[in-house]
Amino acid sequence: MLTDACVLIDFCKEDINYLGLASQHIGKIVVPKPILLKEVHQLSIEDCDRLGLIVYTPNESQLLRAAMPRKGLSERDKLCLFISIDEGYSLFTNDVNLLKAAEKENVDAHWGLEILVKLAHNNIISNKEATATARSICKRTPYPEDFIMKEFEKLLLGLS
Amino acid sequence: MNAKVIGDNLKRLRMAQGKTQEALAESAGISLPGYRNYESGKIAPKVDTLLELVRVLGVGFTDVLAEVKIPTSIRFRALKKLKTRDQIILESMKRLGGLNEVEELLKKETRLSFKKMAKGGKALAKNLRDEYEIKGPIYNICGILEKVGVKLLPMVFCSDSFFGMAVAEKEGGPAVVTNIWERIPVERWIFSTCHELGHVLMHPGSFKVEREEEEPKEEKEANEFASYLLMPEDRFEQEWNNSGGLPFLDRVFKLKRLFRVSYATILYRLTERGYPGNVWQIFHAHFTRRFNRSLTRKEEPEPIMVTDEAGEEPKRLDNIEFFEDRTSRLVREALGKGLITRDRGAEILGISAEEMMDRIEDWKNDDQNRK
Repeated sequence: MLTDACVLIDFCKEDINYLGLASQHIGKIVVPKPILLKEVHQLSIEDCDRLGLIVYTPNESQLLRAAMPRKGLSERDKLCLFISIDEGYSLFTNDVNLLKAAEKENVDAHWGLEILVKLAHNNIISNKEATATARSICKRTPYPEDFIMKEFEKLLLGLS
Repeated sequence: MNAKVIGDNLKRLRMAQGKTQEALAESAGISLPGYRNYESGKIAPKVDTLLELVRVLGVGFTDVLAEVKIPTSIRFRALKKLKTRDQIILESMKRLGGLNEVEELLKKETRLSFKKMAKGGKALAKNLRDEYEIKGPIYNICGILEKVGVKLLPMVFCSDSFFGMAVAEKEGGPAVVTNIWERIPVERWIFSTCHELGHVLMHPGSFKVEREEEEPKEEKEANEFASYLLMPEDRFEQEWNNSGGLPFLDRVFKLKRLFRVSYATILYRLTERGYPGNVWQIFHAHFTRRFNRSLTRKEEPEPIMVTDEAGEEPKRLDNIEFFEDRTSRLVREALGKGLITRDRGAEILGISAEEMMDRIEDWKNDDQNRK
């Protein structure tokens, strides 16, 4: 599972241990090195080791493709996209635009909040905790909170 | 990876930050000869080394990897030859590219809407004021540029020799870049913005990046435009006469605050309208007498923007007086419509992803309060 910069920041702001729990119980979380070095200051390489996250060093081709212009996406978003394409990783993001771009490239793309759903479904955290954390993360996304939370609760209850 | 491109980019970025090769190599944990090989384009760094250099420079990997071309239709003038000239231009173009991207995605492209051209800065300033029905002092110069259809990019460059530049339409403009470095007075930010706007409107044919020397006639016209846009003749006369009971120094300060210009702009206007005696000497004598010190300028100030250097501005305005919020507004809208990611929004605004997320939280709180 590969997470974009904002999902990492979201979880770091809530509780960094969610990343460790997800990596341990759901699937190994892959963190692209340029994102770790530049944007996610709450997470160090040592933290990644401790939490069981894999720090991924992109290759030249991925960096060069990510350096090409593409509307609506940052260089780090593009890097996540190309790594996911090349390595067949699932991509987790809370940004609609990256989600759509990934789907277009046949990448297995998911909402970052689904990590909380999976943790709850695996009884690692309670539904209540998952909902409270999702609500808090929602505040930092640009989309209407009510809509996202409705979708989140459907997923949590296994209705969709 | 193209070693030559990477080498050129590393050199330009390093020099813009005033770092030596030794310092950069040491911070990135590589040997000096090794670093020199990268910068000279002999060999390309391995990915890990490249990422370390990117981290130490605090730039994106695209800044180091992508081939850059200096645009040609730009009007860039500085008081002295700047080593950082190319980097200033490229950073400005990157920011302009971001603004153009959100404009395009939202279908809100800026078009130059002001057409009532005139000969000379004074006449043009009057036309512009008439066109947009601007009566008194200008409180929001950023809003005026928006109305005129000229993009404004306030950017911070640590140089007191560079105040602003203008970008022609064919390079993604028309746009004005204003250096809002904290050591440059806000009055100068405002005046420089008007000055560059004057160039955009009056001298579209002279946007040539290779020209480093200032053309005195064009500079004079742009200064005149800026001066009369900020201080229309009739209103200046009215205010100067109304303040006739005040001591000379206070009259200058009152008008400077009212019109949001530097004291030098007021003195220049007074000279132009035939104030008896040397107005600069009178001002400095009064200032020294009242404050028991002289203003920290090495020489008697010349007409603003020509040979003047950024110096102390007495009773200066606050940064809040110069607020460009259009880019931020467009980013907010594009984010809400899912047209850009949060990280792209951060890139466009030149902030970190975390700051972007905090800003979104603020926006949402604001939305809720409005409901």
